[in-house]
Amino acid sequence: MRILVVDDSAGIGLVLTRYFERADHLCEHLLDAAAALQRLESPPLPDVVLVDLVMPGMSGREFVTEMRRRPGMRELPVVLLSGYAANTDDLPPAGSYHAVLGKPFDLQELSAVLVAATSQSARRRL
Amino acid sequence: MAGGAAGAATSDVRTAGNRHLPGADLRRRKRVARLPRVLRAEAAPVSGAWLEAADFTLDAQGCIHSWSSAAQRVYGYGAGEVVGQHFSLLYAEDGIAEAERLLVAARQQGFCSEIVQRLRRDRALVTMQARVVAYARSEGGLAGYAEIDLPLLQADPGRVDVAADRLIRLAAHELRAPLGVVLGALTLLGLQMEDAGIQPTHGPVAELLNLAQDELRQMDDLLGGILDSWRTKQAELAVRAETCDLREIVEAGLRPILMLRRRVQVEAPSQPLPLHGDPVRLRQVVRNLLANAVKYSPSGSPILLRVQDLGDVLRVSVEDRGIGIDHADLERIFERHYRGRLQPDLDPGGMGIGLYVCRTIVEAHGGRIWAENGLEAGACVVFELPRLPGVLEL
Repeated sequence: MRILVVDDSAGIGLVLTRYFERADHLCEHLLDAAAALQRLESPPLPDVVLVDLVMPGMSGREFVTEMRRRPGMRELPVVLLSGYAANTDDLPPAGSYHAVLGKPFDLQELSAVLVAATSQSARRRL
Repeated sequence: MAGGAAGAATSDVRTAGNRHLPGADLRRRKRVARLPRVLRAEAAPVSGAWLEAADFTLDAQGCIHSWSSAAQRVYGYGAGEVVGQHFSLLYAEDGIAEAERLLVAARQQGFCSEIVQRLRRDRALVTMQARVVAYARSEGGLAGYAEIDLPLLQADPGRVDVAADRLIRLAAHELRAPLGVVLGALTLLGLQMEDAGIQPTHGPVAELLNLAQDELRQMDDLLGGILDSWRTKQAELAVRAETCDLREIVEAGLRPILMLRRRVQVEAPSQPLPLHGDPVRLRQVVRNLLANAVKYSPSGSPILLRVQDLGDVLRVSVEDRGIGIDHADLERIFERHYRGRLQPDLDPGGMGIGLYVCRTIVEAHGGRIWAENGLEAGACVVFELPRLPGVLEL
């Protein structure tokens, strides 16, 4: 599986990258949402995007809203990472993401959520 | 700082026969607020404190629509400079989100009253008690907002509030973020040791890894409690309702508890249970109740999580085989910072905020929550949510 992680924490990025690599996934980590949008313009597309909600510059909500406007990205599975300061106002519109994980999350919990989000039935439900 | 001006104004107020300045209704307050004008002709406030209510209106986008002469005196801007501009210009640069938050709160509740720090035209920070009321058009839709700000004369408590708010958010953010990274790194370390053929689930190394993780989780719980406690105090646990499935919410709330290697027996209907509610907050309720059950029952004992469809309402209950709840405490445990009476050696510690947060969230959904002692030993906490959209207000 190809996973794109968008999180302004370098530490989270490193832990997730190493964790996914260990499970033979390809993981790319980007520190800001604008760069992630740019990344999504060229193939290969990830199978799932993990996005932090609260980031300086473009927020997770803005990122998901903008991403969903683009052709071919209406069904791309999205899992949100909601931290410390996040409120429900920070969430993108219902139906534009598959799951929200509170930080700090358990790595095994994250795996379970990713599997659920990338399953075909989850894709169709969006 | 307010001593001189406030003192002068107070004596003036007394001659007007109004001894209850802070509690006076708006009309009276405005009258009171005008009194210092008499003084202004021949004197100026000693300390830069003033007693005027700055009033202005905003359109639906938060842009200033009208600006009174009092607002001009308080903030230093003339109407020509601010009308048409977004009202976040009254905030320091990092306060734009705060300005938005104030309007969101006013929109959701119809009104809001908060202590805020604002920036005057001369770049001086002032602490204000801001009251904002949202207005709707008769044909529906948001018309705009009216705001009245009173300077906080008892500057110290206000300062503490604003400062405490900053500090608590900072602590919650800046401490929890690295905590999450360390927790993740430790988990990964365990996995990599496994890869290298070292058994991380047994022996002294495993013991140390588990110990470190448990302690970190406890620290995180405490920080989460502090943040929740603060948010409920600020009436800021916003609820955002959408159509969701209660079974999925329960499942998500259960996942982190399963990581603690506790046996949870789940009884739930096999079909989805659609509901109008806030999935993030409701998951927090399930999580808090399960975390309590884990905390107050012996480590090997089972926990029963039951989801029932009762037609008009959906019911969730969490039952443990632990120490139970003192009869006198059954209602009080939902109070803020109340903690049940426990023998010191049985007390796992905590802030007494978890159940209070649960009650706040459940009631915001138009539901109810209560505790009882189970048929067998142990406690049972139950909450019910109406299926139809309830009144979502905090």
